[in-house]
Amino acid sequence: MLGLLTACGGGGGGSPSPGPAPAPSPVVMNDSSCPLQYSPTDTPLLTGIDPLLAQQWHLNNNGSVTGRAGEDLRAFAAWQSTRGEGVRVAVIDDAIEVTHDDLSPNVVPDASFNYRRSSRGTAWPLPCNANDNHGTSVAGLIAARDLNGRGVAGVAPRAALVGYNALATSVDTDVSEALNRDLALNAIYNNSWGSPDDGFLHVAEPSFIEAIERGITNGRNGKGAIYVFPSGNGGCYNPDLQSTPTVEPCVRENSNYDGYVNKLGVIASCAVDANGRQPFYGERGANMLVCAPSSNLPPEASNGFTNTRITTTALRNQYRSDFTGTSASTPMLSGVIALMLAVNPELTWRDVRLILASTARQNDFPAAGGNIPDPEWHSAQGLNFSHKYGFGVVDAAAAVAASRSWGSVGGRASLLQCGPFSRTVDQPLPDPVPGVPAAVPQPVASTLAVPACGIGKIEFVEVRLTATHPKSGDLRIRLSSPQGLVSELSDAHICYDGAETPVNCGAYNDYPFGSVRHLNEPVSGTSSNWTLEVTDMLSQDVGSFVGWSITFYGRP
Amino acid sequence: MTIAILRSPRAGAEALALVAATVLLSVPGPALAQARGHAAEGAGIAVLPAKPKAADPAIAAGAGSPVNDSHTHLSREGGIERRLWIDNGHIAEFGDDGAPSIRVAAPDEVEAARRGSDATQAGLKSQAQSARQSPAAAPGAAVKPVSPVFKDAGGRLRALPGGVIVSFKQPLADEEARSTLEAAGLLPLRQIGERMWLVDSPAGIASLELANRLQEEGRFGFAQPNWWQPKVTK
Repeated sequence: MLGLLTACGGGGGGSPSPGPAPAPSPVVMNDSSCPLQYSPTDTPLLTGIDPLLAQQWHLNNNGSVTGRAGEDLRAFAAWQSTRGEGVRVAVIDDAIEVTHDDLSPNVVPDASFNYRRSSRGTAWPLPCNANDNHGTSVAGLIAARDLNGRGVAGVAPRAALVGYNALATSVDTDVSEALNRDLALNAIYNNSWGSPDDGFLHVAEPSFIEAIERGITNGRNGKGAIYVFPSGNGGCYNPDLQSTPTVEPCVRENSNYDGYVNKLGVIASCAVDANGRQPFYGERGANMLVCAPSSNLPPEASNGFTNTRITTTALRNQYRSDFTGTSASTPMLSGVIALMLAVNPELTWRDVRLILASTARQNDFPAAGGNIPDPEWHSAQGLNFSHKYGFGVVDAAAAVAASRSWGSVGGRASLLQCGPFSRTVDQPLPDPVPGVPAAVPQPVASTLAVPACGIGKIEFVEVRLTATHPKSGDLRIRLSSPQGLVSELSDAHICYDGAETPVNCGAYNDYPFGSVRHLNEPVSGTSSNWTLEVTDMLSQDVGSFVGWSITFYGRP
Repeated sequence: MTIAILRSPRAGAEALALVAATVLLSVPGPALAQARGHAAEGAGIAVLPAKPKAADPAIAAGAGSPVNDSHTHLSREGGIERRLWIDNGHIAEFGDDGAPSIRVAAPDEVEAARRGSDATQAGLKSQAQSARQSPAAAPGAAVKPVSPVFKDAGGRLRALPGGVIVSFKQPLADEEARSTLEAAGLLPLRQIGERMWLVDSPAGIASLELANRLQEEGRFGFAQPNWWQPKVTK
């Protein structure tokens, strides 16, 4: 087996091989200019327990390491059925140390792709320097090999891995290509990256939209590729304070400001901590499907080796116990999906979303040991939803069990679309008046009576908003369904430029919001009125609600 | 609870004062106490601090950083319109690995990069084919493509390594796609999706102008520059 890496430079050691040195390999593994160099050697695949498994509380939390017992993925229970055999997961990231001893047993030979220009096309998307350390940790959370006597285990420890280092160049062509590479073979594309979590409206590039659309349509021979992305880390984290603020100021990022996770076909993953609560960086959003574990330690604690963070693979054949953010929860979710597809490869991308939502467990019970959930939870259509947690925390055991007997709803071809239905509003948005006690912001509401269409169960809603306002962050935006369910699409927040001056958060110029909040709801019932409410929450700047449209995707 | 948020400059006021209807919420911390100094608190009524004055056209337009109009650019990609500004102090130089190094620009270098003619401006006329020096077209080229550094309202960086992505309205066979692109005066470099192709264009602003022109002409489903834009790992 080709696997053991030799990493040199950047403080690393030389060849670890004892005895006579083997002849230099002709295999070109990395750019010659890279501080980190690798050479292929043979490593025996060992057997034995994974020594760091006990630290991986996210797989099975018995409370001895951190947090509350049971606040985990329930992976051990799922492993009674499968460990992800036969499912191929692509990791799109900065680099992936595919030679890592704990990854290489699962890496598909010659299937990874290096996007660095000077060595483009090789199967070695390796780290070039010590900063390229993200993707290797992500990959380990998905599919680090289990029972090999080394390090850690991934959530799907027998799934097949490929790595695409498209973020090494970060040009639009490479990202789009990576999202569509080997569509017939890759089941899942894990993307622990996205737009900046800065409160600005980030619209996805057309090339991204087209790549996702192609993937869910053509991937896996029509069953659709599964795209998993993070919801983001911009909640109330304040980059200036480098700490956990209990009050303002904070970025107030909402995952609906990130165009990548507003796209139909993208699964947005949120995070919960070891107590099942939203971490300080957690965002709100109507587009978040389910959460997975991650840590909740502020950055100043980063120097301490602490088990409350996430333990996974690291560069130079090492391990780390400081991984965090939705970068960690996202690959955990990808791993769970790999387990699901292992027991039922016929699941479509839509089936996967529905199973995840319907089997997720409700979390965040404020009273210790209590059973009263966080008040933001709302129940409808047999599902619980919160703008902090989506449909809850992914439950690998329940998801795998449901996958076995799931009746497919079909793929992209059978997905019904109603709309877009549009309405012109052209109304000024009342501005709250400074100093006036009754300055309660007044919403402008626009209602669309949606004509009868064939969708009895919604799977995704896209709302496009056009509004003129010199500070778009002033606006709070809410979508209400005929049944009264509300998608919180935007909250009032402030954006800053590089000089720390408050600026416009971006133009609402047909800006697309995605929502999963209305899952399984009918488009119309006793009423067919969908209402978009726009409220100017901040004084001094004024604008107008110009118009909006809504498009529904779902099944009869 | 309905909450009104009032904006103030972050440097002086640490950003926010929260007003819930008529109740000023407690916001601890010295910086925020300073912010509250702008507000008259009496009988639960908050007099709101003034927003910063818009000191330049960009801020007045809600756009962000101070700009010189000649350095303001719109990128039209499908139905998207992005407003961007050129950083006059820096330049993006794309190396063999495809990633740029952002460095301080030499005098006139930004202007040269805006024209997409870095090599000729540098006196390297023997390599006047620099217009073809997109990394995609010529990895390992002797002269490294350079691009102005663009910033959006939030100060995030972008650059143009060369190339434009075009998408056909319908999938076309390889030969037909190539001939269609060539008939449009474009040099196809490679297919990057079922309908998407990368076509050649010089690094720098020429890519943006070509993409905008193709988008406006409407012959393709969309056209967009092949942006370099750092993704945020999360």
